[in-house]
Amino acid sequence: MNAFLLRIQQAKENFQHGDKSLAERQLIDCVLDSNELQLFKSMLQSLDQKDALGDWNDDLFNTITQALIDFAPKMQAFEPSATLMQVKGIGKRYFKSGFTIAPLSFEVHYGQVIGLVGENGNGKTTLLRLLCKDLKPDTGSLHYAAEARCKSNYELRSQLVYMPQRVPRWFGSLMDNLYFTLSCHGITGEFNALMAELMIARLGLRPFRNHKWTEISSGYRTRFELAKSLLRQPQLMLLDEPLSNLDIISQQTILQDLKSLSMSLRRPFGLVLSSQQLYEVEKISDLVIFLKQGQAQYQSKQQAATENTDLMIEIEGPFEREQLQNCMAACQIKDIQFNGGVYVLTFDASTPIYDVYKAIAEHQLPVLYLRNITHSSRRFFI
Amino acid sequence: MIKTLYKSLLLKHPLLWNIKLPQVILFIAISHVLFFLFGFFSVYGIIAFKLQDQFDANNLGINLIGGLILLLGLIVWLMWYLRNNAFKQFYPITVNDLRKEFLLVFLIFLLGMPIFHSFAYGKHLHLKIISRNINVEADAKIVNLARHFLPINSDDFNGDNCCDSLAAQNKRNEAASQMKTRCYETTYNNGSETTDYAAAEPAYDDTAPAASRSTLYSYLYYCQTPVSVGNDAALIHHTAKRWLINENYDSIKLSLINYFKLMDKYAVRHNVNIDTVISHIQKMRAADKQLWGSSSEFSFLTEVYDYGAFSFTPLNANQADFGGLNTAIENVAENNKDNFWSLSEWSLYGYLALGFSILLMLFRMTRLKPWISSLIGAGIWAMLFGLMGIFAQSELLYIVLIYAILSGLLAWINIRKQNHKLRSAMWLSWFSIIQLSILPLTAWMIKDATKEKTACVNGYLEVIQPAPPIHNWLELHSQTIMTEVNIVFCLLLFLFLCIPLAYRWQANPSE
Repeated sequence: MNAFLLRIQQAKENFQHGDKSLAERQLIDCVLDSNELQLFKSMLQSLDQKDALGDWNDDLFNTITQALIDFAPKMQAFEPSATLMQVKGIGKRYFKSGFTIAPLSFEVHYGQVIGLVGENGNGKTTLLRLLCKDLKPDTGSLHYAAEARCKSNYELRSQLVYMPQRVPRWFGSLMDNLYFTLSCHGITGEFNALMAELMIARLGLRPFRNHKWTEISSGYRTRFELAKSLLRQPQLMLLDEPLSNLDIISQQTILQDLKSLSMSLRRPFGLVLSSQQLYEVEKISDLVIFLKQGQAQYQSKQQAATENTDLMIEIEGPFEREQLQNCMAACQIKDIQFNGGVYVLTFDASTPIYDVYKAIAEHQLPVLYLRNITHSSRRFFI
Repeated sequence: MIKTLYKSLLLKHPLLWNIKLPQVILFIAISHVLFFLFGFFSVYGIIAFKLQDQFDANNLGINLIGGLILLLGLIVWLMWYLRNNAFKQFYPITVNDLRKEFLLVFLIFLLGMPIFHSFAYGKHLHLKIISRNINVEADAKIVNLARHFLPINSDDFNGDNCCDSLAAQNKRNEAASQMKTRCYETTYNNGSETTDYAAAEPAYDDTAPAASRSTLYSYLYYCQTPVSVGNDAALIHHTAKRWLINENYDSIKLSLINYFKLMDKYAVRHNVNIDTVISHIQKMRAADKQLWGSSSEFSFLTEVYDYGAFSFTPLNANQADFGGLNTAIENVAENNKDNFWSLSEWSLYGYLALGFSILLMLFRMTRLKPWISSLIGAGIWAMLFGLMGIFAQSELLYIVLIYAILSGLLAWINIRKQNHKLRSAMWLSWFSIIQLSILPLTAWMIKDATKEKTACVNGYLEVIQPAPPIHNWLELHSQTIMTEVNIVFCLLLFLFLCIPLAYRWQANPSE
C-alpha cells in the first residue's frame, strides 16, 4: 500500500471511530496532494452537501474516498532531499543593546517541525528572521536545499515564508487576498479558485469566507494568514508565535494541522515555530530549541529516548510544601521548587515514575495536575 | 459582467488586477472625453479668437477643477493599488514583472496627465471648425496694409522707428556679416569683448537724414506689421508708401474698408469714419509731404474690453478694438497649426509621468525612510541647480553631475555587497530621481568643452580652433536631448539598472 492509500485508510478509520472532523481534514489533505482539478471539485461538492445535510454521512464520505482511491495509482509523491536547511554556528550580536545570540547549529528536514521556546526577549524572533534571511548573521552560515535551484536571493526568499507575530492588516475581501496570492504564484484560473476554497475549508474558515478583516476575530485573522502562507507552497515556514491569538482548542488543532500539512506527499515543507505554549509545541516538534539570553539548549525526540537524566515532575494541588515533602520522602527526592503555584520535584534518575504515583495514592494527596517533564524543555526554564 | 471581468483578472492577471488597469483606463478615458466636451462647448463663436484668455488653455477655473478631479482620482487609485504589494511580500515575481508594473504605472500617468490638454483640444477643434473658411494670410495682409493709414499710436509714425528700404537692408546685413568683434588683449586670450556696431552702421534711411529723423513724423515712416502672419512685410510697406506718395486715396480707402469689414467678420467692435481718416491723410500729405507734427490733430481710442462682462458700452468716435483684431487673426493662424499633439507637447507630459512613476515605484520597492530621503536628495539637487542659476557658476554643474553618478555607483556597490540596507536603498532612491539630470548635464559639458577657441589678435577676436562636429551636432540637437532623448534614456536606466538593483536590494538581509 502506498503512502497515499495509507492516508486515505487513516481517514476512513477516523471516520469509522466517529472523528469526522479529523477525517474530513485528512481527506482534504489527500485531495490537495492529488493536485487534480476534478478531485478538487468533487471534494468541494461533498463539503457543500455536508453543510446542507448538517454532517457527513457514510455515502457521501465513501464517494469521495472511492474517488481518491481510484486516483491513488496516479499519485506521484515528492522525494525530498535529505536536508532542507543546514544551520552552522549562526550567531548575531546587537551592538547597541549588547544582546547576543550565541552560535547555533541544527538541521531542518522536509516534514520536520522545530519548536522555538524561551522567555520573552531571548532571541526567538531574531532567530526566525535570521533563518528567513531577513537579518544578516554575524557568524556562521545557512544552507538551503533550494539554493541550487534558485536564480537569485529573491527567489530563495520567496520560498521561505515568515509569518510575524502581529499579522499585518489585509485590505479588501479575504478571499480576494487568497486568490491574489495564488495567482501571483502562477496558479491561475479555475485551479486558483478551487485551491483557495479547499484551503479555507481545510483550516475551518468556510463560514468566514465572505467576511472582511474588520469582521473577524484576531484568531481567525491568524488562521487566514496561515491559509495564505500555506497557499504559497513554501519550502520552509517560519511562524512567530502563531498560537498567541488562538484559544486552547484551536491551538491544538492548528498545530496538528500544521504538522500534518508539513508532511504533505506532494509538497512537504519544514516548519520552525516559536511559541510560549511549551507543551503544545513539544507534542508536534521533532526538535525543541530553548533560548535563554541568546544561549540555546536542544531537546530532540531521539535524545529523549536515550538520555538518562533525573526524573522531574511538575505537580499542582491544594497542599503545602511539607505535606509534599513527607509524601515523597520514600522516593529519593532531591529537590522541590515552588514556581507560580506549581511545584517542580526532582528525583534521582533511577526512581521509577510509578513510585511517585504510588506515594501520591498512599498519602491521598489532592493532586489537580501532574506532568512528567524529565524529557521536556520545560526543565530548562527552572 | 464587471464582476466576472474583475474575478477573471484576479485569477489570471494579478498585476493588471492589482493596478486596477481597466478601472483606471476607463476613468482616464471618461475624464478626457468630459474635458474635451467642456473645451468644445466653451467656445462662444468667432468672438473667441479676439479674447486671448478665452483662447488660452491655461484657464484657472478648468485647471482647478481638472486638478481636483485628477487628485481625487489619484488618491482613490492609490488606495486600491497600494493595498497589495507582491514584491515586498516576497511573492515569486521576477524583474520583468517589476518592469511591467513600472511601465503600466508610467502609462497611467502619461495618459492621465494631459486631461487639461483635452480641454484645450476640444476648444481647438471647435475653433478650427469655425475658422475653416478663413484665409488667414489674406486677412493679415489687409490688416498690415491698412494700419499704415491708421495713426493709432503716433510713435509708430516717428522718424526713429522708420525702416530702411530693401536695398538699405541688404547693405546693412552685408556690413554686419563682415563685422569684426573688438577685444582688448589681456592675460587671457579672449579678454573683454565689445561689438563695434556704431562704427559699422551707416545711415541708410532714404527718406530723411538720420540726425533729423527723431523729430519728424510722417505716414511714410510707418514700419510695423501688427499681425505677425505671412512674410511679405517689405512688399506691404512698399505698396503703402507708393499709394501715399502717389496720393492714391481710392486704394487707401478700399484698404480701410476691407480692414473694417474684417473687424465685422471677427466680431471686433469699431466706430471709425473712414472719410475722416482719409481727409486726415490728405491734410497731412498736403501740408507737408514729409513732415507731421508730434501733437497729432487726430487720434484713435483703443477699446478696453472687460472679459468678465458681455454688456458693451457704446463706442466713442474713432474708437475700435484694434488690438483685438490682431489677436484674433494671430489666434486663427496659431489654431490652424496642426501640432497640437506634437512630440514636444508629449515630452512635457512624459517628464511629469516619468517623475511621478519613479517616485511611486520607489515607494513600492523600497522603504519609507529611503523614499523620504530621496525626496530630500532631490531637493538638494534642485537647490544646487538653483544656486547654479543664481551664481551662474558652471563648476556647480560638475558637482551636480558627480553627485548623480556617485549616488548610482554607491547604490550599485552597496547593494551588490549587501552592505547597510537602509543606506543602500537611500543611494538607490537618490540616484533614481537625479538620474534625470545625467544626460542633459553630460551633453552640456561636452558642448562646453568642445566650443570654438578664440583669441584676441590685433585688437580683434579671431577663431583659432573651430568647434568640432560633435559640438555643432549637440548645439543642433540640444532641445531633443533635453526632452525626448532624456526621457527614453531615463526610462531605460530605471528599467535596466534601478529596478534590477531594487530587486536585489529587497532580498538583501538587514543588519
